[in-house]
Amino acid sequence: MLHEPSWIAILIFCSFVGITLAISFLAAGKSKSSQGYFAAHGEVHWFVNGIAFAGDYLSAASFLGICGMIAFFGYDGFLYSIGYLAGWIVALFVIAEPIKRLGKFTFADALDAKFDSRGIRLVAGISTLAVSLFYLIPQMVGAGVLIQPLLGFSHEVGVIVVGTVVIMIVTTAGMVSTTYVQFLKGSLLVLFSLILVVMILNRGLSTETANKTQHQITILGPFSKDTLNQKELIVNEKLRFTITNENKTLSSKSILSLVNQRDGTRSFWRIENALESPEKIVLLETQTIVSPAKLGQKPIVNGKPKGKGPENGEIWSVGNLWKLPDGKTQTGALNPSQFLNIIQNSEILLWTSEKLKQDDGTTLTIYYPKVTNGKDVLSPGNHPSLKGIRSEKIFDKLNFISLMLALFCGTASLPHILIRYYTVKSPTCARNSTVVGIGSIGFFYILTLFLGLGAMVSGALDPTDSNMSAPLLAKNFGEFMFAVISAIAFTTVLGTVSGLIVAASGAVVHDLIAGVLGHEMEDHNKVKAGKISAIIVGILAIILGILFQKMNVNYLVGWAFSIAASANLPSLTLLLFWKGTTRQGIIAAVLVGMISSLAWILLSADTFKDVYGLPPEKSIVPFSQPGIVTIPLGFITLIAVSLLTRKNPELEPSANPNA
Amino acid sequence: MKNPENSTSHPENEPNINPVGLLFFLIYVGLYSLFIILNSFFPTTMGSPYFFGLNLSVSFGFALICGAVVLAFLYTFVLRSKGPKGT
Repeated sequence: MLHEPSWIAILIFCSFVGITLAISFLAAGKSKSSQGYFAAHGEVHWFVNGIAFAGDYLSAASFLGICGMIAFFGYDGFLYSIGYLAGWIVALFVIAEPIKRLGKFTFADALDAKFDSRGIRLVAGISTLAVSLFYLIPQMVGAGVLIQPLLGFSHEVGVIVVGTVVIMIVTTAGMVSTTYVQFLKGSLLVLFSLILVVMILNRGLSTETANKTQHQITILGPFSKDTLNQKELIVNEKLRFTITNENKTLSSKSILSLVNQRDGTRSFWRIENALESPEKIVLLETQTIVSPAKLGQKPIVNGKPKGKGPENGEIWSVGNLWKLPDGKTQTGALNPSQFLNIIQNSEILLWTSEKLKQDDGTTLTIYYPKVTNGKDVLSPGNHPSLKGIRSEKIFDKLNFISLMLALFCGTASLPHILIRYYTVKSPTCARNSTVVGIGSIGFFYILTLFLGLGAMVSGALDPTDSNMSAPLLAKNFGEFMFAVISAIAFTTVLGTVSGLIVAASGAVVHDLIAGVLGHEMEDHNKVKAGKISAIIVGILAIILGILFQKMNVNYLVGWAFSIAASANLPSLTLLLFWKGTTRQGIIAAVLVGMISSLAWILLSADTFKDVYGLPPEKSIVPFSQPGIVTIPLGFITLIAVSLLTRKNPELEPSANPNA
Repeated sequence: MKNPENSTSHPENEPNINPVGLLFFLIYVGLYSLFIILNSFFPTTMGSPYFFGLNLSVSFGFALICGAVVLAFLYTFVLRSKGPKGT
């Protein structure tokens, strides 16, 4: 879809960025020391820190990715909401208080508190950098996605703008500004999401689109089912098609390829049962993009060169209810339970796509609607990566179990979440702020189901980009809502990226430069080194955000969780709760967890398909999500290496200070 | 580098898991595991209406989110008298 920037959107966006930068410059005075720069002096109030937790955690993945996934695949996106929140249980009951007691600046502080080991500092520092970078990718992709309709910039320019603003925030005031930016955006995100959900419920559901200027999908028929076996399809005297056998090369056999006999144009149609009579079929209009084989050529969209105006073609917005229960066409205002019940008993046009390599080297992508039962929409297994739930094969099911395990174990292992425990005064404050975080994050995740389903039937979706679903839903309620929601989502990206960059630069300065290289620095030099590291990590994030443009941000975050959970959680938990943990055990576990999860991801079918562009069948790992293998592997490695290296317990400090 | 001696000098500095926390953690792990098992091996059960006409997958999902929030607040309430208040 081609988006036109509006002045109100630009104005609100600039105000948000201006406020964010003002907070940073005002807080700069409090960040002269390394304690201030990396941990906000440990003086942040627990309530502010709790909301800032929500700000940190409700990233582009949560807002853009989950809403987009629910809008296109239904319940599967909500599984991420459930998993992301469940992870906070580990953070609250297992990690929060001990990590506050043991650490000062970074996650490595806690791991190394008992051992004073360069090896631990090195592996923990590298792990922090790896997880931060993997988590940064979806945030930057999300930023590019947002800025395109908001300001009219290209994805690349959007990513560069975000990277630059974030580098400014982090280099001016580090953790102090990051915390208050997170507090602000965490509060606004939850508040405006609630407002949007109230508007969705108040509008109710309808088989007609709210936006009257929206393209109305063309429906041919009804025809008898025998029509499909003929060579010709006659709609009326003026409109006759030749039925080609091109659909044989498509994996979806419900798509029919037709050639108009008058002008020779080719088009694709989705075959569906007719509403009036299930014995008959109707043909639903699809959309196509032909991507050129060579750079510099314009893509062909719906048969015309991509662009605005009657001479050009563009993708039109989609997403409608096909049929409401009891033959109704609209419902009026609904309460949350009624809304879900009616969705469950309706039929919805869900849009999906299929790619086809053509003989001339171009790639044809067909976007087509699929009438889907509401019961299936609200059940798991619609998203391609979670289809295994409905499969009989055990490996397919393991992919889902592995993902849910990684989400559960990953939250409490994310570096930018862990360092937030150092910004409060005491372990009690750490616990209280986690509870505030869980309350606000949990509330937001409940809203995601309504936001996603609301977007699904809003008629506002861009079939080429699931990440834009939430802002486009807001646009359905007017330019102001669109501007505010987009600006909040943008601030969301700014806040999360800032937190990640602070975590990464802290790891470079404290763990790698000071801890491993033993390079003693004056306090102000530590801050300077932190700022230089922040600039380098920021530039890396910009490059990765451009490279991974087309991937769903939520799915990318799943990878970051897997690496964090596999590399960090085994060491953190066993250090706290198993006396036999040794220095060598921790080093081995972090390395094995990190390398195995990273290798698994790089060799997975999803990476083959989405990153390398290779056939997914060539992948050598049986399923894409590594957690179920690599998290236990981290635990086993730590226990085995610790047992092997515990020759003289008196020389090895105990992991349990009470022992 | 933090001195391990100092980290045990105050009752606040005991990195053991609280028994109440452990209990709540185990309860939640049990519920979460049940949710995953039902989704993985009984997807049709998850699609059947259960609570206020909503299917089990949606009802259970809401219960897990609300359950986490309730356990978190309950945990703070149980431990309200322990440890310095602070800000």
